[in-house]
Amino acid sequence: MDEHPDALALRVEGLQHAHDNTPIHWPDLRLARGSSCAIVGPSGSGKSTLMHLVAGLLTPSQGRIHVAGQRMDNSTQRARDRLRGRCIGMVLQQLRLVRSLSALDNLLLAQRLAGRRPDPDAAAAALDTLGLAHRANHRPAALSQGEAQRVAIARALLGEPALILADEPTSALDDRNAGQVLDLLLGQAKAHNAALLVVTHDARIRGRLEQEIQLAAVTQ
Amino acid sequence: MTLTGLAWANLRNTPLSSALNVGLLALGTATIVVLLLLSHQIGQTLTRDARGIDLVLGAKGSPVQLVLSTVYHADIPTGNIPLAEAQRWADDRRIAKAVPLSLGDSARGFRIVGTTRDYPALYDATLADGQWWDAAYEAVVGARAAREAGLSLGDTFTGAHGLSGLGDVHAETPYRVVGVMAPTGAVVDRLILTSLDSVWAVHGEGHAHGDHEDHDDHEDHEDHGAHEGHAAHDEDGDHHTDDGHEDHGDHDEHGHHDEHDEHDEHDEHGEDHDGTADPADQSEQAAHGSKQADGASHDAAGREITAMLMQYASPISAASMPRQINAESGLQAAAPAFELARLLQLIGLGMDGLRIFALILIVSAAFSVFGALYGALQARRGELAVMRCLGATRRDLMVSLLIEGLLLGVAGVLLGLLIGHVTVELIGQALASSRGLGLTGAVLLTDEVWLAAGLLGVVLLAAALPAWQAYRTDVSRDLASHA
Repeated sequence: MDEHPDALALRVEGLQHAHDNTPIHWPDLRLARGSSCAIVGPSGSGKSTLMHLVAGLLTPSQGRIHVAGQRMDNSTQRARDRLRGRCIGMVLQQLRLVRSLSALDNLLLAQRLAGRRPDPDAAAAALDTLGLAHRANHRPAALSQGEAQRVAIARALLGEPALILADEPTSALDDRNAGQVLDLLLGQAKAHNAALLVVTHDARIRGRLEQEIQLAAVTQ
Repeated sequence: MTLTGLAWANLRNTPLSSALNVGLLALGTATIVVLLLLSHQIGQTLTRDARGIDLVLGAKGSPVQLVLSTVYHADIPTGNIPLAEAQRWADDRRIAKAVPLSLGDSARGFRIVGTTRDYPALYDATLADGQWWDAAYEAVVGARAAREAGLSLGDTFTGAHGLSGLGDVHAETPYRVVGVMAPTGAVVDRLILTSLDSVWAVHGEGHAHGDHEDHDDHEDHEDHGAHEGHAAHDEDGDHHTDDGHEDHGDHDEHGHHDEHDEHDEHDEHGEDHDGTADPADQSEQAAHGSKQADGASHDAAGREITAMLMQYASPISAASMPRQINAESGLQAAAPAFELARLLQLIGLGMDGLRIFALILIVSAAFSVFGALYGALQARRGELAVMRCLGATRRDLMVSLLIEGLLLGVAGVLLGLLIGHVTVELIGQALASSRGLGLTGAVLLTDEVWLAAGLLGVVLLAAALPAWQAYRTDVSRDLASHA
């Protein structure tokens, strides 16, 4: 409870956001590096909005968000982009890779967009770790759903982020792939000492993460 | 992986659309480049060749033809005029300088021009080798004529009747090269200059011989009759026979039957010597001519020239002189500047049409680039959102789309420049032998740099709206709608 704020990957306090004139409140949240948390709830409960607020893609009407000890909610758009690139790795359900680039180039582009020097060796190593070395030069269209999601995870971990945000990472996958991807997320988050925040309505995930926060549907 | 690399990969991912856009841009660019190069080079050549010539005095006929034939040596002459009458106008106080020209023969495809040394002086021509002509049958060769006809100092060559170089050879009266001019870039480069006497002498002599022994079976035997009655020919007749000449490409070089065509132009002179083949007479005549060429007109009677190039003493002369000449004499006065403007205006009408065509191509290319990038923006909204999630700034997204547009633009414009220059070079090579406009694709005009910059500006403008939309895009909503 009295941890130094910098040791926390994520701290959310008194967060409120008006979505279509309906204010949504979120419970306070503290995530240390290496820990994991699932946000579950029906659609319309504000799961994705919470994720976008934390990622700095939306600006909250009230409350404070710290990512790796830095304020996300009230800084400039550019500073938020930079903080997101440096401290957050995002894994999404559908939108994963740039179609015109190979798996390896997708990783290199991510490094460039996050403001780091593209490092082909590190990118190749990341793919290797997830068993994708042989797929490095394939474009997304040539990859299976599970492979594409693994490339996306490799990309999210590439910058050694403090926080991994995963939005419905398993919903589009079959049981076998969903299980693999979740194992991978948990294992890699631990390995990289990153906090893992998963937003999902996928029941297969229930009980697998350290914390679980249930959101109620917002009444209009 | 840079933003440029990403843009390149995106373009390669849609090869058909990219190729279409580059192709459209290249076509529009190439059309404009060809127009620019042609109009610039033609205008430059034409203006340079007419420098210092305010008025051309020649036989009645088309003024454009008169100017083309005597200033640019690109058409057949309208006919001949009596030297005495031309000299009378040249002596007018309103005329500062007058240069007589006598055309009709050529050697190895290059025109032989009987004139005075004032003529090369018009173009500031200097000798690269040898000296200017002095006696009859001495010739000074232009740089290009020397190079392409293989004429150098001391060589002898024979003139052939007609301007195509395929007429009858004046084999009995060879010219000797006494000088080669340095390149001027003007029309004299492709001319062979000699004295007026030489031209007169060649035809006087040739006529005197008048032997038709090797006529064999040339088609136009009816011309032989004209040989006897050539004095009756008028300028129009000259013109026609000359015309006919150009078509005789398949004739043997040794047939002399056409010589009388030329004699028509020098009819009275020819008559003086009709039937005489005395070389002494001929040289006497040449001596005559030397005096004449010096400007003394005492014995001009009976001699003919093709044209008199004149320079006004004052620009005011332009107001009265041409009208007076055309009204009071049987001659025609044509102002190269005026005829040139008229000609360029005629060409310009065609150019305007092409220009509009090129503009339409460019506008459609711009719309096409806009359409392609707008389509890409819609198709890649999700990707752009993902890029934002990876830390890309809004500016990154905008720049990546602008780079895509710019790459299309640069590729299209470069390809267009290449196509345009190659086209002009091919046109230049195709016309090189016959026209001497000196067209080349191996020059880059400053206008082209502006054109390229302007076109890239248009393409960037077409890319700006999609790029701005990428900048403005609401990532959160795009992510939600794709989730």
